[in-house]
Amino acid sequence: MIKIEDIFIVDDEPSLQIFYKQILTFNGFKVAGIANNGIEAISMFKLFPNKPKIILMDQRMPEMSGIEASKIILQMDNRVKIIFITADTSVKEEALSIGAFLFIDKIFTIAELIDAINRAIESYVL
Amino acid sequence: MFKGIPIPTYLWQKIENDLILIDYNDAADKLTKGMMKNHIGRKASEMYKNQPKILKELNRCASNQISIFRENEYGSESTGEERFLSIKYGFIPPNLVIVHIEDITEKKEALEILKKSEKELKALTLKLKQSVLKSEEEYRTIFENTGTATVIIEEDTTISLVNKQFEELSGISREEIEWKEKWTDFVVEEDLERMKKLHYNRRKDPDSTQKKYEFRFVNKEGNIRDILIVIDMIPETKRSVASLLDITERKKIEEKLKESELKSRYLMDGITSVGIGIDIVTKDYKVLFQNQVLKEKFGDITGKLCYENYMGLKAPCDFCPMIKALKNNAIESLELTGVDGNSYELFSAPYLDSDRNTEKVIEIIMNITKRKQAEMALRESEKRYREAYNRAEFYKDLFAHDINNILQSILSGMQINQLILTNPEKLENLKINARIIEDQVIRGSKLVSNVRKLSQLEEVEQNLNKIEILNVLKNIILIVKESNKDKNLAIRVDSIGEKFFIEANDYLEDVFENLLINAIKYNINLIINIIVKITREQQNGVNYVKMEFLDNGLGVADSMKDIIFKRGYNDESVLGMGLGLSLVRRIIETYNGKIWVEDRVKGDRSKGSNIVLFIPEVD
Repeated sequence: MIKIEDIFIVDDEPSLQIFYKQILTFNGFKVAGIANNGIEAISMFKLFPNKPKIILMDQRMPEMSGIEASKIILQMDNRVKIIFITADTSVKEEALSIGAFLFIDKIFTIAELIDAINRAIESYVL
Repeated sequence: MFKGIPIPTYLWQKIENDLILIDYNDAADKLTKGMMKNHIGRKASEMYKNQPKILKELNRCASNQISIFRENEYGSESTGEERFLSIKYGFIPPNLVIVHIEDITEKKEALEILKKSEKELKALTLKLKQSVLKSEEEYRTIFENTGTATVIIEEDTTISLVNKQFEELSGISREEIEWKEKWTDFVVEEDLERMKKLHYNRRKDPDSTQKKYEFRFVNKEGNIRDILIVIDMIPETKRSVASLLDITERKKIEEKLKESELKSRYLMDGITSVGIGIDIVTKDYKVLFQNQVLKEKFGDITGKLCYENYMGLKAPCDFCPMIKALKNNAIESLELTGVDGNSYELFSAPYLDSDRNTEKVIEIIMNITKRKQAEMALRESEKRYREAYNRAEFYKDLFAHDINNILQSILSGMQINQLILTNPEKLENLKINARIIEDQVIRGSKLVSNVRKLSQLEEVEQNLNKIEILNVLKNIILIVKESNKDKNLAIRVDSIGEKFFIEANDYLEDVFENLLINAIKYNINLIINIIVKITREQQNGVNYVKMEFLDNGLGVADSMKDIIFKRGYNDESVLGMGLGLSLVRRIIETYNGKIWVEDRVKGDRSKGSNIVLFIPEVD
């Protein structure tokens, strides 16, 4: 059974970082960590003793984009479920082609986010 | 009296059957050179025993008592000379015979010469007649074979002789023309009076009458032909001879040629009027012809070298299209810069002259300076438009990204707060979330304001004024501090002077505000330290105000330093920087300034960043 602390937030927007954390904890999940950009995400992912099973990944961030960071993280752990959450729909196809689990367009509701996370969890169970 | 007769005269007396010389006169003595006295008393039968004719005539005259006239060749005993004599025997009754002897030797010789001359004359006359006949024949042959229609015209305008060509020209046989037709029957009415005058004047004063002119000939069918006539008088006669050359086709060709020349001239004038140059150049680069445009532009360089005078070069151009045109037998073109600094487009085409010689080209030279300038302006305009378009797309993308994040934050905050209301354990988050939502609304408002400003920067040409930057900066610092009261800000201005003037506008406030907000936003320290350092620096002869915004924030990764302010607006890598810094960059560009980012402590990003501005200083 997946551990709830396994969700890793990668987004450069401070307000969203705060709200993601509240949404997840409110719904019984725990946050493994929060990264401000792709490079930070890779560094943190390497350091996690227990690798998070789900990543909420933004696309457009300073220093390194979500796509570039995801490619490296998936090379480290190809089982991790990366849920892209971005307004930049132009990268949807590319994100899925490199191994992203789901692609959610901003603007989304809390219900849509929780549904996506549950689908990721179910994929592990199955 | 007998003695004084100038004709030698002898007197004989018939005695028995002979005649005796009884007397002679002075002329006879002179004829025989004084020898006659020796012959007095001599018998005729003795004296003329060797001249039986004379002896016979003497006897006959005496016997028959008649006068006789004879001419005889006579060998004189006294002189021994052979002479021709004219002898007249006259009987004087009763028994005398008087003989007159005239020496006609010279007369005879003259007569002989005359006879001979007459004979020669007759022979010559015959020969001449034959020659004349031959000449007439030859003349006739020539007349018939002149190759042009030829006629002989009588004084009364009657045509007395025509050749075959005239028959062909007129369509009438010579039998129907000669001595029957007048030349006036073959001339159009409009030309008739003029030609009649010439006809009569020629007979009065041939030398001063026009001998060669054109007229219109009417043939049997009524067809009109253009004729060149050459006419002159036949010497010593009142007749004239005329050659008629049909120049109808030539006239048509001339007309066409004139028309063609006219068109060519109009074309040339037209080309000249629009400033297009035309020349002809030989393969050894000599200019054979220039139109007025080129003469006015480069002077008359006919016979001179094209590359020296058009291009100011000492050797032919490597790229000369003339050589290519001659080699490929095709039109070649090239754009080049003339010695006058203007841009020209040169079309070079092989030129075939009347000698069928293709070793020269005709060149059309157009001054395309204005076109090139227009093209350059258009390219510049296109470039500016493309840049503006790229910037607009870039701003749109940034705006969409930022506004989505703002809306997402507001939506998520509100939905969470609704959940909190049903879960009192989390009530402490309610206030925090409300504050975040409020911040997002303000941020959204600021975003819209920035977009509007960016749009104005693109659309309206900026009027810059002389502005003192220190005052502006201090005011903005106060505003930023006021709006960030919840944060511990330590903002200091470190300036080497009190006043720094630049050419700027109200957007300068946005530059300072965005840089300060950015320094605060990406800073997690309890005390946010920001130092604004202002100095002067000269680069490439330009005096700049140098402003450095040094902070103790998160710093900027090396990979991002070049991206943030240096790359183009269509570079996706720049999209992460946010609309605020884009606005800063755009404003600084309008001030002809420069902006970039460095580490505050070189090589240690974690110590914060230093955003450097260079803006030209004015007095």
